[in-house]
Amino acid sequence: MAAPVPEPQAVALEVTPTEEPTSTPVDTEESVEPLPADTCVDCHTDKDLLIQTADPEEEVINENEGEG
Amino acid sequence: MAPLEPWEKVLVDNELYPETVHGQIPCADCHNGDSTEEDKHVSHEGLIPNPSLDAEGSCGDCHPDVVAMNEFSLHTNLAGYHKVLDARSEPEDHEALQEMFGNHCSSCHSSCGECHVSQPNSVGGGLIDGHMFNETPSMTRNCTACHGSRIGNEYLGKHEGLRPDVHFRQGRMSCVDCHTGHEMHGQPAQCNDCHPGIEDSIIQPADHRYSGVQTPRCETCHVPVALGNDGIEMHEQHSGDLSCQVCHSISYTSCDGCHVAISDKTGNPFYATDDHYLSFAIGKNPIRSYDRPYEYVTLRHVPIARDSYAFYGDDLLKNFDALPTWVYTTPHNIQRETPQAESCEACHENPDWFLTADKVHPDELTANLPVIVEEIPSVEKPEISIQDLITDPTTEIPPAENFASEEEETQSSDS
Repeated sequence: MAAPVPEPQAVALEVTPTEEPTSTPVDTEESVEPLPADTCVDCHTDKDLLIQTADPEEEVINENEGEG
Repeated sequence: MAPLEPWEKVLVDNELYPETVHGQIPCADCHNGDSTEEDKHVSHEGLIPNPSLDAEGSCGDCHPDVVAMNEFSLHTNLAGYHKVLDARSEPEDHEALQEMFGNHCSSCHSSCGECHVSQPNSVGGGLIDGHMFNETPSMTRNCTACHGSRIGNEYLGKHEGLRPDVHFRQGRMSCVDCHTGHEMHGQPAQCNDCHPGIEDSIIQPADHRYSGVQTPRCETCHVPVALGNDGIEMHEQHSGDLSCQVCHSISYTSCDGCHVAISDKTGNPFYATDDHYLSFAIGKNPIRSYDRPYEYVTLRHVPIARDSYAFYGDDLLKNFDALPTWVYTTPHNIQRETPQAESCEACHENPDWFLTADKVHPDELTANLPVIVEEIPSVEKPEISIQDLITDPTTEIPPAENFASEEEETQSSDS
């Protein structure tokens, strides 16, 4: 005589209750302040721009005589 | 040395500089100005081109130990100039001389940046390496940019027919190999300020390039010479009597009569020297001391004249004769073998190399009395040298002359 096969029983699944949405939306990413502009570096690392914007060269008259 | 192009003077290395410690500092923190403005003229309002002129304000936060010494550095305080000007003048003329100094001499003052970032303002300024901070200044862009007409030309062999200094030619040494940051940055009087020790030691800060402890000195590296055991008879004979340059330097530049004024045409200060020439002069040591005990040294003529500053007033150098115009010098053109060191006679029997009265301008004779060689030293070769004794300890030592024996003295006193 075969052993009785247990009847499958319904198993109650545990359900995690979802949180109620809050009134205030929560940002998913932190806000990032824009980096301050640094025009110094932008200009002073650009050789062509420096040449374009250079002040006209002043003629230097050397009036010195002899060894300094 | 080729001059820097205008764009070169302000070009920052975009790849290397931001990776450095100094590259992390916002530009405006040191240079002022407005880094948010795109217009060049607006952004440059209030710009400080050379922030390290205020060493404490710009460099002191991170380099307090170096900045604390800054006031003692001759490159900062130019004390050497003030010393000789004060000695040759009276207090009543110091105001006029101060005006002169501000117009013509103060440009030699160098800031931290003019050694470590840019070339000196006196030769046009500007960044020499994309704003990189170089711990070791460039020999050509920094040191000899200012120290060029004498030291630079001599050291690098730029005089036709004269070889470069052996330390450069064979040693490939640059300025900083002898002239360290410790010397350049200055030092306080109290050694214990930096070097804790048992005893207090006070060495007055140098007020002239040739004052105080001699640094650098040849013997630091050439130790056998200092100890007198290098086997060279001339070192043994002249140790302490002669500065090293007397035997080991060759002709170097001297200058005559520098006069300064403000140009009527441009309003700019300018100078004019009467003459410059190659010379070699051995004379009496004008600054003989414990640190510089030599009896004879090499001398160089400096371009000071009684009327050098006539533009600023009459007779401003009332004590002109207080100091020689042929001054202690250390030419940077050292050679192992020189004409004057070929033999004893090569020097001792050649009056051309000694500063005798006939070589001094008549108007400067009084000023140079302390350094003029009145009688060329003669050769006095000992019969027996110390080297002979070292080689053969059994060498018989001849009796000393002009000294009677004790027995002879006793006999003469009894008679």
